[in-house]
Amino acid sequence: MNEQSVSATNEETLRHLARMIDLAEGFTLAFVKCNLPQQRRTLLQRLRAMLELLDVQLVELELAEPVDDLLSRVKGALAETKSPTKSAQLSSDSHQLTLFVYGLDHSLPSSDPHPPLLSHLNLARELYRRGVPHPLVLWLPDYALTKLARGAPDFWAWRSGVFEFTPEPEIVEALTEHLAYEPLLATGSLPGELKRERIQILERLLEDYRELEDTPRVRQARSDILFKLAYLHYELGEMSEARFFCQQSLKIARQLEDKGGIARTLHSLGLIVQDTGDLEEARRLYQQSLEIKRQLDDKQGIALTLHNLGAIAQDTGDLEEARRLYQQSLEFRRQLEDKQGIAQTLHQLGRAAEDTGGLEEARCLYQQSLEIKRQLGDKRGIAPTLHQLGRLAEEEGDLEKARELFSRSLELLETLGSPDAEVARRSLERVKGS
Amino acid sequence: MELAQSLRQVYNAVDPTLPLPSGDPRYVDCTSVRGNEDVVSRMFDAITWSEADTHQLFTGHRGCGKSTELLRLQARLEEAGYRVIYFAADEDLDLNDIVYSDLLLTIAKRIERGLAEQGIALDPDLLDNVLHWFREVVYTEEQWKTVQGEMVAEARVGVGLPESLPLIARLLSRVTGQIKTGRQVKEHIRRKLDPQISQSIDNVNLLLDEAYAKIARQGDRGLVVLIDNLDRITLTELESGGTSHEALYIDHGEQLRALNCHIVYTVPISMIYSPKATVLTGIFPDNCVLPMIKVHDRDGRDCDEGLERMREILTRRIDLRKVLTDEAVDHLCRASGGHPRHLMILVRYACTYAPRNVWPRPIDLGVTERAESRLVAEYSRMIPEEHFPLLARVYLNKTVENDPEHELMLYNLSVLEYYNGAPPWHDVHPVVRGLPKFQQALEHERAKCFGDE
Repeated sequence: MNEQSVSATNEETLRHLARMIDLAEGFTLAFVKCNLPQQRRTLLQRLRAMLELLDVQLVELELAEPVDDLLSRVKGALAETKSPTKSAQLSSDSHQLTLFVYGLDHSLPSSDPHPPLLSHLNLARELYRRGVPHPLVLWLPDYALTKLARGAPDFWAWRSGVFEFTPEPEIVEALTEHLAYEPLLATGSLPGELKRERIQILERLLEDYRELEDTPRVRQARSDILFKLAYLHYELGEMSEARFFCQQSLKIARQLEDKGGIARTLHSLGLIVQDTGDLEEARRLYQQSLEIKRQLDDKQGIALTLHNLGAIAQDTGDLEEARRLYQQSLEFRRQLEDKQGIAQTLHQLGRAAEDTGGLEEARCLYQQSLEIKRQLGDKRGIAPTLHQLGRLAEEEGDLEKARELFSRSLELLETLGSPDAEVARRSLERVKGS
Repeated sequence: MELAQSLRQVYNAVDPTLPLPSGDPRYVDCTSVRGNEDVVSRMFDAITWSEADTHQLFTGHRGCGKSTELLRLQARLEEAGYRVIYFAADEDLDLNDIVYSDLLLTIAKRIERGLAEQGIALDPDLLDNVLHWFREVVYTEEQWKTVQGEMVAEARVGVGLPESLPLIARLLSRVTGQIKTGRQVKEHIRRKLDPQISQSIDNVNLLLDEAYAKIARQGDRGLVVLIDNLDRITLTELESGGTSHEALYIDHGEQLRALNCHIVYTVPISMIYSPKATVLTGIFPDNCVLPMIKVHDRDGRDCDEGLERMREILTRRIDLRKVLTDEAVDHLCRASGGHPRHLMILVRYACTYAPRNVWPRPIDLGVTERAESRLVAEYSRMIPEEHFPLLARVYLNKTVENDPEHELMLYNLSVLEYYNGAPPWHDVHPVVRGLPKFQQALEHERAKCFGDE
């Protein structure tokens, strides 16, 4: 992304911000609204050049985790800048120093109505005035700025400027392309902390979309982002969030009469409901999804839903029905050469075999599944298969091997941030204990 | 004091974060346009005329000049021969989580320290008695030994008050510091002290009586404590029912009145309009509201005198002819709603938007309109959706209901209070009128009124 992605309006806001920094002496509180870190970086490129001309030294503080007390962090950042090694380069004129703080939104999660940071800011404003004799500019996404204005009114009342940057369609679209349409295999294999980071960026992206003109294209993008958010939360085991975003995505898909989208979200809702144990509702949702997919002749989708219907049959103990559905799914997937799907169904067939005591058959199926997943680099597929192989080893009394397989599975699941890590941990403890 | 002439000077002459010290040449007496009643005189008279100790409440919108007025009151009282102890509650207390006993200890500490700094040392035997009582209530013998040890160690490394001061002073300073920052210690002290609250008050009163005797001997008339910023206690719903504000001012109202000296407590303006307002004014008959400066009357017509005062706030700081056109000044004064801090903020915004190739008077009406629309955008962020119909009704009726929603609207400054002879009246902040959502709600309300007829 280059300098071209700063619109004329934003360019003007940048000039005003630089002007404020230039005018201000002593403690001066200002807020900047900017939703996306990607946009911020572009803006900062321009701003740095402007500030350099004004002889302003910028101190930047990026917060990667929640803080209750911003002041000590700000003072820390200042002290570092003023340390003797650097002070030689600093002019004695202290008003030329300006502090930018990013990432304060981590401390203002929308789920918490009273984050501790807000009352701290509200009550400690005097300490900021005394302790930070420079312009202090807090960069926040839209929702967080509103939260601060309402939740820390005394602090907010001391502002000398609020600079709001509008979304840049170019940046928004590039990010959507990159994040919302990334294959699920790749998103699912991200480590847990990167998944969380993804969630954050996608939420900011949604805020940008809310400010853009409401076209069908924009709605489609929002629906797809919501679906991705649902998926990420599901992978992290956060079912109520997953359900919420899935329903939102479904709502838009219905407005747009996007059948593919409707079928896809219905399937995912089924998955989420299945996870919470309501098998009947899950089956109903899968059936609805399946029907639409059949109308659309979406073979890949049909195969996926058949597979999940098989899993429900298996959960209710109807192994024969389960096998039948898995085989149907497998057939479609072989026709489509959908390797990831094949590996997934082989794994399930392995579990069905295990349930009927065919341990040798099960092992063979797991091995096949594992082989394909390794080729694909499908980490989130590998972990459960390793676990099942561990179960077989345990069953046969080869505890050493079981232990090794369980711990490999556990390590993978932990990295992925998967809720299944708990299952693997228990398995490992069990074989360690005996 | 030199007047600001350049945009840079103007920007820094209007700092929204600084109250004016008493006697500052920039102070503008706005009494006549705040409703012809000088709140400082009223509080001053209540204290100086009363034979008994007075316990008054003082309130006003955030940023309307409360601290500035309290500092004036302090100066006038000192001139009249009173010993005044002024302190900002947020410096000593955790306003997020405060109970009456915390406040009582802080008052005790401030009185002892304040008097000592003014050269009045209280009787050592009395201090010892109070100390003895306090440690019996709060600490076991063993804990007390630890505490003493820690205090000696702390004094040695220069933390806490020096060892030469009375032990009770050092203990209070330490304990109030712990209450502000330490969760566990705070719980411990509250658990011990709360059941003994009336005895605690008695003990603080012993100190006060002794202080009073000393003060009288020096020819002074009495002791006044001014507690600023207590109105910034975080508003929370308590598990036990009620709010954090009610817990302090109403549930402990009688105790707030039990100390033997004059006290002015700042309270959140919303308390005066809460559903419990009548209970509150029953406990504290003396309460003063510092209203906004009236820049328009109830019918929306300009109030020339108020606008003149707002303008004066600027002329005391800025050489207006160099920087702003007359129209721009008028516009800013109106847009501020008579709220001094908003006037400062608007001037700052105007400086940011001002062209740099125009001189003199780079700030014209175009620039100030832009500044106002910025403030409008910020209000749109601050006001929750469900407030708009209520705001439209306030605008039409010029009154507020005593309920939590209107409490919040006064609290976040979307509704302002004005005064010209009783009773006070209310209006929405002028910038609220600029919000499309407000205009929609207003149309809706008007249609409803006509529909009813």
